[in-house]
Amino acid sequence: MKRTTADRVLSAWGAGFLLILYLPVALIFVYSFNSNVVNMMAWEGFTLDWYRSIFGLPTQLAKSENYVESTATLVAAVRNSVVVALFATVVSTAIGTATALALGRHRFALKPLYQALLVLPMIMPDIVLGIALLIFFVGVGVEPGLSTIVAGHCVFLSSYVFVVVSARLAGMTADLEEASADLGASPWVTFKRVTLPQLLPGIAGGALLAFIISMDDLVITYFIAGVDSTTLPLFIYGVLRRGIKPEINAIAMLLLAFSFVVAATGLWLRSRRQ
Amino acid sequence: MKSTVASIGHARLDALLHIHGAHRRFATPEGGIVSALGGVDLEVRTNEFLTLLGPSGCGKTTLLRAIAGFEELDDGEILLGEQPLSGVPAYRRPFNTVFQSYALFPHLSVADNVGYGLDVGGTPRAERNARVAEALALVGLAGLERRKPKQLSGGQQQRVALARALVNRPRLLLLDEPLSALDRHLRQAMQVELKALQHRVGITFLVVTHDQEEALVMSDRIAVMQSGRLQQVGPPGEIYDRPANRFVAAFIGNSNLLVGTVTAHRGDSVDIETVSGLRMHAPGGRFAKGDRVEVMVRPEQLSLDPAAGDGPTIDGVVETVVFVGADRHVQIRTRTGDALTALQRHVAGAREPGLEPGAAVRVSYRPEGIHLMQGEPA
Ligand SMILES: Nc1ncnc2c1ncn2[C@@H]1O[C@H](COP(=O)(O)OP(=O)(O)OP(=O)(O)O)[C@@H](O)[C@H]1O
Ligand SMILES: [Mg+2]
Repeated sequence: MKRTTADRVLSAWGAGFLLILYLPVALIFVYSFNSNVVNMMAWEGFTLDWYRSIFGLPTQLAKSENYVESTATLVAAVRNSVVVALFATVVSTAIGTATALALGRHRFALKPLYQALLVLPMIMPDIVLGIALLIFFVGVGVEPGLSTIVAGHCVFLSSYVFVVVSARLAGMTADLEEASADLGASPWVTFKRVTLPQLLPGIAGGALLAFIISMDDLVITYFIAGVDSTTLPLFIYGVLRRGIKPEINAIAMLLLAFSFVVAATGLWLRSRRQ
Repeated sequence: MKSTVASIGHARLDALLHIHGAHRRFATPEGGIVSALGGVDLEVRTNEFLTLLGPSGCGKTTLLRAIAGFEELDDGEILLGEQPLSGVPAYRRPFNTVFQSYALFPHLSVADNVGYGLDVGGTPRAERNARVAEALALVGLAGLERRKPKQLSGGQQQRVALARALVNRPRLLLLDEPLSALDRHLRQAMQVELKALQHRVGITFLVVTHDQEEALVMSDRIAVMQSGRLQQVGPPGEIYDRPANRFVAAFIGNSNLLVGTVTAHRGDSVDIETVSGLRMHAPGGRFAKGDRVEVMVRPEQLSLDPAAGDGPTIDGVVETVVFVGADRHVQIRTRTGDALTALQRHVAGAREPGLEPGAAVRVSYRPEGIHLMQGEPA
């Protein structure tokens, strides 16, 4: 096929776009292996010490203030994040899916208004939502902690799940459910045997999205976290405030790798189902 | 599962389902009201093959959905034997439907699709498997059990939908345009097959179609519908030969339709004169002198053979001759100005004199070949 000027321009545009998108990430990747303790932007030599220090393994590094203060706090932060994300994902997936089914399969008054209100948390500025949640929790007298973070995350994660599952539901016509009823299945059996299996890819997609968003939420969590409930993003933010240290690169890389694994697992599960 | 309804005894063996004064109106987005069913009375007899025939949008699907339980009636009732069905949900009605879109479950294999009704009803595994195999064999799909619906052709999917409904041995099988997605050859083969199948399994079939030829081929009785109302219900021969009104006459088969007045009454037959002045002779003892009538003559009742005998004749001129395979449609303009179509069987090599456009012809007919219907008063 003949390459036209338009093709070349488009190729260059695409390459440029990818470069802008991934150059910062690529830099962090390279820096995370740089042994220069003083200036991480000047390449000195290859080392795995930054990764080793995160896990509390012995390193060659002399200056102690470069290390993550304590591996234990990091591990605690990771654990908090995973616990929050798991609970928030389960709860928001249930709420979002149930809401999508109610709105997709039933008619009731003020449905459009209800629908609009449901997606609002997605576009509401995080700061506003964070402050609102903080005032609410203080108002009702709940101690900030992991449970407030889970509750706060569910507020906006339910919206994400709702949108993803609704999209899937919109692509499903009601005739399969009618066919099931026609063959003698009660509404509950129809839901179990027909609606749910059809909807599962959407539900799984919504849950994965919720999990990843919960894992890296900073702003809202910042407002509603307690002293002992530091999550991974909060931890990273805290470390950064005391100056950028090379360990951060290694932590960011590990976080990125984790997100990739989660997303890839999701895609793999989906492809296997079809 | 469906035993609540299925166990109800039926008082009259010949009538499975009674529909009385069924009304269904829809509010359209344009702000109007569509009357999809405008007072339908119909009786479905046990073990018959009944076809619901009518043009697009006349309310066929709405009636079928009302029977299946997916559509509530605004007025009127549907009785299974003597039991009213209003308030009985679809999943408790002993009917099964073959949907126009097939509506096969994409996540289930062919065998699980067919076995769905039995699984839901709690049929023991061994019996379930045996019946699924039997149903698949019945529709000629043995060996495809493990396929998914997507891996089947349209015709095969249609058979799966049929097997999925039949396997439950419903009291009544509802089929919504089951053959419309098939090509002409397969459709014709399936028409015959469907009829044979109905005979074999002994289940009452109610089939929706807008194809009059299909209805004539398959049905024990045809219910002709227009704009939410039944126009005529009867066996194919009766519908074809003695349509109740102009709509039925025009919708089924080809026909010459003229408007006339009865000029003389003689025992069992009448003399008529059409608006244009054409005089004809036809059976019609029920009409009186001066009545307005619709006159229907099927093209095959008009003969162009000069040696046709001594019946009444009409003189005219050939306008066009259309060759349609086995037959020729000869369009004739009568001396009085009416247009008539006559059918002439095409016999290869036979001499067919005088059928060029412009040639004068004498059309002969037997009075019994003419059917009179009540006309609009002048
Ligand atoms: N849910 C609905 N809302 C509004 N109007 C409807 C609805 N369902 C059917 N109608 C209208 O009712 C009339 C009858 O529809 P129906 O589907 O019964 O026709 P049909 O005879 O099955 O036609 P076809 O041969 O095209 O399938 C049509 O005019 C249709 O527009
Ligand atoms: Mg229809």
